[in-house]
Amino acid sequence: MTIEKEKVLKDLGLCARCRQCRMVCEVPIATTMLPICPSGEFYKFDTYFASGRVTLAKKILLGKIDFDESILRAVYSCALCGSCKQQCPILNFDPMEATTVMRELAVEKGLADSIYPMPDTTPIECDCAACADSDTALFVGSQAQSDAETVKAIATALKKASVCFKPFAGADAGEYLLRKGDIKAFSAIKESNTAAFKAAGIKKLIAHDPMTYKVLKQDYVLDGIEVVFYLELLAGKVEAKVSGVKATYHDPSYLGRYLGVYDLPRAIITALGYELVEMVRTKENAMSSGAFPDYIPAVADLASKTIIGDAEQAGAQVLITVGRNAAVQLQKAAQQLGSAIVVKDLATLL
Amino acid sequence: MDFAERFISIVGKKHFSTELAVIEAYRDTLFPVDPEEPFGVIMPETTEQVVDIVKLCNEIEMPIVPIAVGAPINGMNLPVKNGLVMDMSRMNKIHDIDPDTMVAVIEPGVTIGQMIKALEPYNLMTSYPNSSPPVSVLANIIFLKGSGQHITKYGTADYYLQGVEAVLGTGEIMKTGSGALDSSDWHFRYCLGPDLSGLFIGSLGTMGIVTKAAVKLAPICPYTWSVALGFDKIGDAVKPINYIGKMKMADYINGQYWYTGVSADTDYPWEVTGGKAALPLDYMDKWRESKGLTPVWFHLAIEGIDEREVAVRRQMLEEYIDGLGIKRLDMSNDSWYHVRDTQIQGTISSVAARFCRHRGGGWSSLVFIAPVKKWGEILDPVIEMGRKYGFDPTYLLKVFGPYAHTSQCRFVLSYNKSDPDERARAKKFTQEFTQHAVANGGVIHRQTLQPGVVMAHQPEYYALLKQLKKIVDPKCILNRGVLGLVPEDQE
Ligand SMILES: Cc1cc2nc3c(=O)[nH]c(=O)nc-3n(C[C@H](O)[C@H](O)[C@H](O)COP(=O)(O)OP(=O)(O)OC[C@H]3O[C@@H](n4cnc5c(N)ncnc54)[C@H](O)[C@@H]3O)c2cc1C
Ligand code: SF4
Ligand code: SF4
Repeated sequence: MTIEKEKVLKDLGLCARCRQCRMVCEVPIATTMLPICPSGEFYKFDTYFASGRVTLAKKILLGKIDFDESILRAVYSCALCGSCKQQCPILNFDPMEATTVMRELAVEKGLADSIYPMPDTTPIECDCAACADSDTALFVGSQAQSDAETVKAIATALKKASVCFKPFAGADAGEYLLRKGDIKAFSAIKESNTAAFKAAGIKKLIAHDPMTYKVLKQDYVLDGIEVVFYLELLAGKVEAKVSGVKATYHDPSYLGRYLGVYDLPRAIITALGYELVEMVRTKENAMSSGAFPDYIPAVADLASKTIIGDAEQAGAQVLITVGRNAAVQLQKAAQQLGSAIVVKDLATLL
Repeated sequence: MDFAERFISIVGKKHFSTELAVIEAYRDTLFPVDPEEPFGVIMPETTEQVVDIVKLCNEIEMPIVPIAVGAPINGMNLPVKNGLVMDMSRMNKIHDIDPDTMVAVIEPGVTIGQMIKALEPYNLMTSYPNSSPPVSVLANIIFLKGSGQHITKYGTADYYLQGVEAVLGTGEIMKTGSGALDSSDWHFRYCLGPDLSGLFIGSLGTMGIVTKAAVKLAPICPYTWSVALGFDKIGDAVKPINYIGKMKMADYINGQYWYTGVSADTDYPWEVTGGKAALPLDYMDKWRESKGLTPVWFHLAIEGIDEREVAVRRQMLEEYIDGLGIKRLDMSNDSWYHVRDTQIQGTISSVAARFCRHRGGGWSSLVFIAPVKKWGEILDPVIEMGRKYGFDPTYLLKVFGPYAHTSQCRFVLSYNKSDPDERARAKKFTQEFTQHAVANGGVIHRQTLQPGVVMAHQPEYYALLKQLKKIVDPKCILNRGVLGLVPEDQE
């Protein structure tokens, strides 16, 4: 068991039940009181906000209640988007610990499989080597994160920017095992990938998907290997392609809130010639699109429609994001709403 | 049809639940008690739905506990065994804003942040506590007799109440104030005879479920000036503060130990608590000494529609302060002080959020109302009492307007909720605190779990309250866990 019960209980005990995790509460935009938690907004009961999950986690750890179908639903309907952590006024407290700890316990008790839809982690096939003997590798990843077409577009952009790399294909970083709470399985993948990186003499790993980037950077321990996001290598190397088009940028949670990358994609969008306008919920306060293949479609639809509404309100013609999943999900929401907004993955604009 | 099906037929499947995850999430509080297990949680959206729910509960004698958003501090909305939790957060419509009569009509789920935003174009505000943005405006104004930014200017938040629409325990709809008349809107708090809106003030949901209320609006005064005064002990502050209040020289008078300052100080080293829940007084002493500050301080602010109004009153206040030689504290370098400064204008303050920075998940705000002249005799023994139980309670003093008739003395008690010993001590301290305050003529504010202590001092008053309760809620289904209004034969 990896859970340090006493420590977790102490952490969860910090929750003041102030409910700031429900809305954008940061001054000055607090006055807009815009919803920020996808699952809470969908289900409405406190159970589905961070505050409710904190209460449930405390009770489970104390043995006062046990998992049932409703608790598993509460646990796995959290998008792990980080918005609650952003809004929570308690110093050094991450309300998402409630979700992660309950997921670990659910896996340990063999209950997670019944509710968690493990995405398709078949590796993406990629014919995209730029220079065979490079010690820089593009982590190609799996269908759960992207597709061959997107990876190809990214590889082409990197080549155009004279980045020398070879693909590291045939592996998944274990992102969804981590989200599921299967720490054991994730650790196994992490170990085998780390060994493979070493064997291939990799010194620099390029991630092309926000979630993979976060996992490789924060959840792997890669001594001597630098992990970069593909956009970093394109900064300053992008030429203008459009003019007079208003675009807004949707910050994916894993790139934004988890890793603090806000300016880089915006700089590239501006370099492409777009006129950048901001949505009211943006950067740290961006609404998650819920665009994860392990997530509840109805909740993701509601969250994405909210983003489309914000983009329209900002006067944008194009909504740009990073990552195939987010782009597909937002495009679907735009269609459902009959919105004229065009949604693009930044990778496809390069 | 079983009960659950009947509730579902009223609000739909999505908004009623008896699931474990829902019940248990609502069964939590910062207060040192374990809430009972309710039957279910329901989220109505309209007055009609509330009527149907209350009628059904009346028929099946199922207790109801309404919660607005549910960020209470003192256990005022604890679920009742086999009862129904009525979460009002979906009733969040702003029906009307009338900048001419200066009244807004809102539902109980309307939050502070929502209201500030809606009133922004009019440069108006209503009463907001220094609380977190998602809490309910009405819960604070009506049920909690809250203490907002304008407590010194107008008195408790219920000053802002113009009338309510409520569903009584029988399921009947009652309207109060001028809005009770079909021909009128809510421009006046009163209608024929006694002030029936008052029945709901401080009622904590025991007299009816409020589905709508009219609240007064006030202008946001953009010009402010403030000063921090330092005293060596509370006793030294009593006379001057009372005088400043009664002469209306300041619109905001708030005294306190250094709790807010210390907890808003981002460099605060939590290790100094030695794992304890509260901010220790000796640490606060060191903190303030390092800054050359006095043990007690008061924040006074004046606000005005224009600069001239502020200038005249500032001159009066400064002449009085300087005439008495009261120490002024220089806090120009403390950013938290400036944030606090803006609160009077009705903005949300990030400092307020930090009230809840504490360790251990237990937080209780023990409040009594007493005149300023009683501060000396009531406060010091509470500090001593706290130390006896191993706590360092920190106080906040708010002078109530319009003419400093009385004041709020609030002790913030932080404790580690998962430590049974600390919990038990917190409970004992709370009990002794209540007895001490009541014995010394204080009125217990929002202290819901020990009505017996108050009852012993006011048996006739309580008997009358119970009779009133019987009229509006004969089966005693509304928030029966608080105020001790349950008839003996129904306990
Ligand atoms: C960080 C922080 C700081 C705070 N500072 C202040 C402060 O400075 N001044 C101050 O006054 N308060 C303060 N508070 C308290 C705060 O104002 C109250 O917690 C808040 O107003 C309660 O709102 P709520 O939406 O959580 O109401 P709830 O707790 O849900 O409800 C309050 C009471 O009203 C009853 N009730 C709710 N809805 C209805 C209804 N529709 N009909 C009938 N009864 C109903 C409930 O049963 C309960 O008894 C603070 C709170 C926090 C978290
Ligand atoms: S998780 Fe943070 S923001 Fe949410 S209720 Fe708890 S303390 Fe408040
Ligand atoms: S991580 Fe996102 S979905 Fe989960 S509780 Fe926090 S805000 Fe809600």
